[in-house]
Amino acid sequence: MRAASIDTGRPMDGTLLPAGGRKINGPWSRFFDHRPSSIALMLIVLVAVISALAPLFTPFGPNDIDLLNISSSPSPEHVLGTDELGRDLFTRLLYGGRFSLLVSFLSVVTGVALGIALGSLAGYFRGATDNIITCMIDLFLSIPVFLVLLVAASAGRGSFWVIPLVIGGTSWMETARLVRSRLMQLGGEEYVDAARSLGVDHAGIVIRHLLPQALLPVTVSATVGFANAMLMESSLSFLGFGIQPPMPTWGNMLSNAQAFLRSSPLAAFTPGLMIFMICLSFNLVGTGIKRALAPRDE
Amino acid sequence: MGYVLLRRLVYTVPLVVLVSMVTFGFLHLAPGGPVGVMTGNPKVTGEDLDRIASNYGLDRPVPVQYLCWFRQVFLRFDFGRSYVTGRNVSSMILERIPATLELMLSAFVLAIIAGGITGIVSAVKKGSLVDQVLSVVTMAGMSVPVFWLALVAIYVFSLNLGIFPAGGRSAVGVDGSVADRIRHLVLPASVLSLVYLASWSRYIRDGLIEAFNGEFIRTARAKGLGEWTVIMKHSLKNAVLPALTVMLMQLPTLFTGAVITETVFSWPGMGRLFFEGLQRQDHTRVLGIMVISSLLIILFNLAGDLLGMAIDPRIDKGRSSLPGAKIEKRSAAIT
Repeated sequence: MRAASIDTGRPMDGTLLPAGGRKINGPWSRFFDHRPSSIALMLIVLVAVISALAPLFTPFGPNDIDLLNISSSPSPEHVLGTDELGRDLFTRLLYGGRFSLLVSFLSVVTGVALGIALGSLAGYFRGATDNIITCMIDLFLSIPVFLVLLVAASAGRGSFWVIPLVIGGTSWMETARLVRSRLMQLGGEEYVDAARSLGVDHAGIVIRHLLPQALLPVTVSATVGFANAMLMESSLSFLGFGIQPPMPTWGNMLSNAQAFLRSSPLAAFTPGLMIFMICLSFNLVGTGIKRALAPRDE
Repeated sequence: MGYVLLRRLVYTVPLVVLVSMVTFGFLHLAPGGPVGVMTGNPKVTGEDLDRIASNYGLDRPVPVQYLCWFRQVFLRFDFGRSYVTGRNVSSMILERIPATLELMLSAFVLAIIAGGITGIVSAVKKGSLVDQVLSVVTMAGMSVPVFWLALVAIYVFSLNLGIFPAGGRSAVGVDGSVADRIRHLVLPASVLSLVYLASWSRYIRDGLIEAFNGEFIRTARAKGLGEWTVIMKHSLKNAVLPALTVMLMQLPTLFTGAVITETVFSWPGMGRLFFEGLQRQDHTRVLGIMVISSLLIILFNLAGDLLGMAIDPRIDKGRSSLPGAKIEKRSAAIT
């Protein structure tokens, strides 16, 4: 029990105490109070940092081949063993993390940017613009997304930049819908009229006054969207239509795994485990943010 | 109500046309185009390509081609011939439907049973250890890459334990034995059902918890009904219908299959038919399967919306809410 200084009625660290003496928790501390979400966030940061600094953690390059150790089991030299070509698995996991995280990040950025742009157009201008964009949302929700992804990725012939564009281009709908409905609610507010009468242009009203209020739900959907983008990228790469080898991603490291399942099981398990862990972490962080922002939902 | 219904029905027509147009254009503009598969063959000269293209009518303007194709597909249900096998795409698809139905239906049934039970348990024991464990499990189901889950299942159950076969629909030679077919079905169906179960369990849990807060449940408890009757009869009815709408929207995959799972387990279904078509640049086959999938999605979305309106007739009539806006539509899981 922390002692509050009596004369001011405030505790020493300056936070307000309600009558019961409990601390009022802000969203940040509510987020970190939930242990799974905070562990998940730390895990994501850890993996991202280690992948980014990959050369510091391993003496090998991602495509270095050790001919004396093909499909070897873990040894002091190769911590996780090697794959069917004699490449160090641990090294490839680190470098694979770089590309997997980067591609997922770029995909989410593309998707969220598209969603915000289209959603604010629809929610702000309404009328015909809204009808067209709502129709586009319905159209994109009526296509078999994964099939379209496969076709588009195969048309892109494994180009690195095509994958984030394609994934982002098929996952903007939820963000657009969130932004649209939030802006619809806010459109009638008096401060919008006030800003308009002061001569603020459309872009200024949307960007300065309306979008910041739609940011929180968008953050939650982007966090969960990261997990989905990673699942999409890895699935594409697994099937051979995503990022092409020898550039390693956790997905394409698995595409040969089935043939060598018996001889090098670790090569099949570890990349998938990384995808699983990172996706689970992003989903946990997403629900953590949601919980922190709306504690009454629980 | 009648107006909203009519609007929703009418809205479907332009959506179908638009989706077919976009899919057709998208595939035609892709590099290589319809005869792309033949350009790699050194024996096929430029003249041959032109001749083949004009035989298939590919030298006409794209809009004309689209109109012919649209008439062919929507009036005669004819998806044309495969450029690779020369066979009719419709019959290739019809061949694969039984295998896909068998796999997807078993996965769905498994997921409904398991998802229902876990959903009810975690709603009733809300906040308990069981609920927390189950919520992590369902979240894991949403985060796991299905191809990896399949690989792990194959490694554990076929390579090490040797209980189930690693792939295929039946062993060579013992075609038709029910026990053998079931043994082949167990792994792919369980892997798939885990993915579906994750989201469905959550919908049932959240729906039930919402129902528990309703005043009619307090009334039911107040008049002395047993807990079992309250849960099963009064709450579940209200919780199941929203979950049902969500499931309904995932039903198209019953026919279009699961590309990844079918590929890993070499299951001879629609998903693999599509994947092989894509690898071999079989333009008509890919186009056909994509259009069928889209039509089914539109159809089941419509059904879901109608069901939603039937459940909740208070559905917003305001002009800001477009038909069906009440129900969260999401793209299906990657399977």
